[in-house]
Amino acid sequence: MRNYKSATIVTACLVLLGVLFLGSFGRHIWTAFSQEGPAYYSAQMYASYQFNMLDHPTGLLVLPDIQGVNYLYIADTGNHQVRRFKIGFGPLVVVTGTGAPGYVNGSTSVAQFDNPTGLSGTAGLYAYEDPFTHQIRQGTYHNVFISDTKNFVMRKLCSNLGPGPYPPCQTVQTACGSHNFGMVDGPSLSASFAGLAGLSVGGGSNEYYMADAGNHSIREWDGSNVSTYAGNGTPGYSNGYRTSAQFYVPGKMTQDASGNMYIADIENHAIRKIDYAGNVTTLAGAGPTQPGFVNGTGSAAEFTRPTSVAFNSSDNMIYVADSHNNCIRRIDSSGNVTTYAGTGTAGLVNGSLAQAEFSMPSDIAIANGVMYISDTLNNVIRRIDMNTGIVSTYIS
Amino acid sequence: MKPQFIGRRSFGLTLSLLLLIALLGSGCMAVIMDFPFQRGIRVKTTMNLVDNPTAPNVPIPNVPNFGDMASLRDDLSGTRTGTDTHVQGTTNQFGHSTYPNAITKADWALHVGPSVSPPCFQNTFVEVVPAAGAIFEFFCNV
Repeated sequence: MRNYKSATIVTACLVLLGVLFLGSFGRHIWTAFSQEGPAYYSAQMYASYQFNMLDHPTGLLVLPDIQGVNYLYIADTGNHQVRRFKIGFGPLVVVTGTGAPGYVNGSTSVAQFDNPTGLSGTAGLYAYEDPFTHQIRQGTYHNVFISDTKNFVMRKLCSNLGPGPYPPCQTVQTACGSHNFGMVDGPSLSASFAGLAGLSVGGGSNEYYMADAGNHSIREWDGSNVSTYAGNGTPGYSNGYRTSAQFYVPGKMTQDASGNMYIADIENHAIRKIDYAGNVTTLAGAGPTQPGFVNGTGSAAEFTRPTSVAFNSSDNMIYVADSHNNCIRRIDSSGNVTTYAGTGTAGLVNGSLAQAEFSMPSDIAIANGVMYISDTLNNVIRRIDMNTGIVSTYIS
Repeated sequence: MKPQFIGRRSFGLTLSLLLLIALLGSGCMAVIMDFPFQRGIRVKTTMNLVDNPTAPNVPIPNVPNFGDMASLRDDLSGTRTGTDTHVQGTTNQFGHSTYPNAITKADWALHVGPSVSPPCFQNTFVEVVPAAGAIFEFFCNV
């Protein structure tokens, strides 16, 4: 019995000593070497996910899940689908849309769209019972609003990221719009539009703004009624109180921390501002007769068909997808316009901000110091690491 | 009694042996096996979340890398080590490829990547490897 115990103890000790010896050997070498100092070189590469599936992507939206991981939604306009990519992990999945144009509500697998463009949305939590442990867990759902441009409606996609079954999700419904071309305010499903573009979720509950490009106005939906928030329905370039001001094909809007709204006014080649009191002014841009590519302040700056704007709370800048100048511009709160990324030449070049080339960037989304750009004519999603200023092709 | 005693002793020895094998063959052994860098060249491949810089970096295994010494550098201090003028391999589970016999005090051109998962293109380093060696870290930002 004693021999048995001894053998066990001796063997265990040998194992322990072996581990300690090897471990200390490693540490000793490391310490000695660290003092001598090897050279260290690093290279920052950027992942590029290739699927070759996108067809003229436009609207972008980033929403988080319960663990803080972001998901990038893409309006894959030419494929009449909405896709989703889990940032940093993938894959790229079709959330809804069959690939054929149409107008069908219902489950995400059968729903159809006709040229979906603008996206906006919110993330929420729901509780569900784990089918194996029967514990109550939390999952994330996303409510994504979609400008279904050629169906003249705004659709609502509800998508669970976790398991179901509650709440009933993975569905597409018409949030507002009668599916008829027109400009009618009123109850959600009686209202009409003439080509929705960008969307924006307002600060309040049930506060959604829609750029009704075909009606040259900004429409508002409160969850049950549609009203005209700004613009009088005729194209123009008048400033003034929001309901009498004029726009000329508004593309997308964003809001800053003070509640001011900024609008990419495409055919006016300008960025318009609606302040908290409802007054419309021109933040930057020279107006409908003067497209161009000039940096400067206010009306001295020139754009050519800016389609989207995004407010970045980290630097208090408005970033602009200046689509026909093939670049990203930015505007500070005083209206000073500079070129952020792109040379102005259409192309697909990655690298530094000054080297990069785009081909009709149409929408931008900013999250956690990263800018995502739908590079529409290149059929890819580009990404800018705003900390390093490196432009890369993220999803193609 | 005697057969039972032998049986217990055998059992104890077998158990100890299994413990040893388990220790050496498991993560404990793996940690020991991946020695800290000593000399020559080490390639590190690391995944980094761009939109969450505080998240811990993750090593990327199975990334091909290779390189050639371009020229010797006698203007550098220290004692030259190694004899290999060419290195080639793929990173291990810790995202490391270590070439202790790569010649130091020399200019090297080293190609790292492409990585498949996550997908990052190849990068080429053209750098000086001093007498103490050099570490080349390839970050794939996802």
